[in-house]
Amino acid sequence: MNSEPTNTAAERSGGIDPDLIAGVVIVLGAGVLLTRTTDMPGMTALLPVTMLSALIILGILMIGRCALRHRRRTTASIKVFDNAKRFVGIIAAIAIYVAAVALLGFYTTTAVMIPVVAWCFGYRSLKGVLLADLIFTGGIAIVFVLLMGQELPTEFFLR
Amino acid sequence: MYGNLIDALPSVLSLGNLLAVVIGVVAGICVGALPGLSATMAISVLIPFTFGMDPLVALGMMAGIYNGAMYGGSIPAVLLRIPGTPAAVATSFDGYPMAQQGRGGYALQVAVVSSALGGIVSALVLMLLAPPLAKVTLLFGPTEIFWVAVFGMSAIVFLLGGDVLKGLISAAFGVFVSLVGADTITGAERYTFGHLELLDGINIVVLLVGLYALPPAIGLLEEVRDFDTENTGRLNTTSIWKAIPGMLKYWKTWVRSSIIGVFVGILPGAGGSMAAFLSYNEARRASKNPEEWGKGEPEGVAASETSNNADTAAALIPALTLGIPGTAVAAVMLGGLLIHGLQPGPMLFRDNPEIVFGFMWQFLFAAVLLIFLGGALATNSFAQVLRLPRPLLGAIIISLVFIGVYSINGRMFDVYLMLGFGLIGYFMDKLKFPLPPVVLGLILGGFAEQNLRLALRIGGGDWGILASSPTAKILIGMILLVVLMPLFSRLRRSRKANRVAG
Repeated sequence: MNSEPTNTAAERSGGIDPDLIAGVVIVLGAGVLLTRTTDMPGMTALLPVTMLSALIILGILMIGRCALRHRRRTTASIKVFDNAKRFVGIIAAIAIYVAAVALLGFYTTTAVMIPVVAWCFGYRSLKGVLLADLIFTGGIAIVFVLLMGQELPTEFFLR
Repeated sequence: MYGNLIDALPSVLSLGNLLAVVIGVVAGICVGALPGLSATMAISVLIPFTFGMDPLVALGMMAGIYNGAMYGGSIPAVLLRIPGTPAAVATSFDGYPMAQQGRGGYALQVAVVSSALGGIVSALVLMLLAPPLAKVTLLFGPTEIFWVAVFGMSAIVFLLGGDVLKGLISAAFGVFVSLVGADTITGAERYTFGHLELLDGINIVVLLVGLYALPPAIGLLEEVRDFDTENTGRLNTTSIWKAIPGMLKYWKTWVRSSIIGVFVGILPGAGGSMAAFLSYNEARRASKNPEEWGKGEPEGVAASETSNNADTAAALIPALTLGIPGTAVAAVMLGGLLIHGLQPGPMLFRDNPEIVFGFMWQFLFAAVLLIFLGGALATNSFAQVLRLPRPLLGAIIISLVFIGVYSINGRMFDVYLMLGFGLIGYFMDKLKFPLPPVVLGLILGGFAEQNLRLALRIGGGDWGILASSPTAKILIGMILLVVLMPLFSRLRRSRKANRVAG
């Protein structure tokens, strides 16, 4: 409703209105979750059924709005990715980081991740990267191990 | 009524609490100065680290961050014409031309003094209005509390502006998330998918960090741009105490903008950016030389910065008294209160007066502190924050987000959940789904359900009890007003546009 219509966005997103994809995902997701309310007691299911039904109706309205826009040959000016390749890279980096923390331990993984990610995404100063890594990882170790005594995922060589 | 306010003062004046406010203000200025990061994000990252802290220390840091970030946003707005926070957009209109004329340092000093004054007024209004309002809301029963929760959600969806359909979807999603876990009355599991970790529901911090902290970190790594930091090197700043007498001529703007900021702050759904724009327009209209505005008029900076800081504590009036956060930052702060076992609402004033009133004092101290941090050395130092390499910052935030969420329960499950919410938040942000209704839905959803079921039990299952009391009727009327008002105004606008086109 607030988006100024433009037809260049359709080209950017490969011809599919991102709102249409969102609408379909909402309707399908809420529909699947709604089927799980059948075995809940009446009062327990009251709010989930209300919310999921509302989501389905709102999702359908969103799809309808997209269809209307399509008929008028206009698309909402929504650019989903600033840089799709970088986005995929970032998500992969985060996923690898989280998996590696569980596998190798927090401090080892973080000490490697910070310089690698900063370097890969454009900060090319070896001295700066290593100094920041030392300060950050060392600082976290001082705060969490020495001051707070809080455990983060244990290092693989200490297990 | 105000005796508790005085009683809370000594504990706030302890070294630890004062230090927390100072650290918060400095951190807030740094975060606010970094385009793409906001007070909401900084507080979301901070909350998990405050678990082991005294509630007042944690709240002091949050109050400091909120005030600091509102001023910090003006630094890149003035020096680079890139607002650090959305609320600083109007500051760039005159701040940037001033920096181009070599008066960037003075623009930042006007910004810091105006921010401090706006913050002080806001904190005083919070101290004056919140206690009597909380006393009134203590009279509310389950029916009224249910309607208050519905009012809060309607207000944030319909008054936030933007796409109402998407706002409603966000709110419904938030309420749905609040329902995950074991039903507190029947014990039946809802959407736990066999995971024991979900039996207690989804921790608000996991959602907050996912929605508000991860997407900006992705954004920092995604953007391929360097800022032209040429202006940061030549601020020509003099001592702030010498500069203040020359600013006293803006007193009318300070008063007007404070009133606008406070009023907008109390309104649920409106935020600092709306306050800044309204205030800038009003100040320009009242000015004797409106043609100079936009070319480097310091009064424009004063108007915008006073009102976006006057919005801060005022936004907490509905949040603390009714449990309805009016802005995203207020919603995140409520999350901060909840993890310390403090349920926002009228009971907070009765059960934990020393904390809630101490929090108000901390807002006042944070605002006063801004002036002391606006000196020449500090202003120049904060301007250097803009030189921080963004990819490095992104990597560090990802790590901080991990630590914060992991340390809540010491389990990886919360981290995976947070990553899921982070992705949802990223796409919601890109597709222009508002995020505050999600948080509000999560906070108020369970609260509304609990009170609805309690009201129905009292009424013996009769739904008519929901509209039985005069207060409930007034609240229903207010909800209808909030829902219908924007629809009518939209209809009127479209009719007017049709008439012009026809």
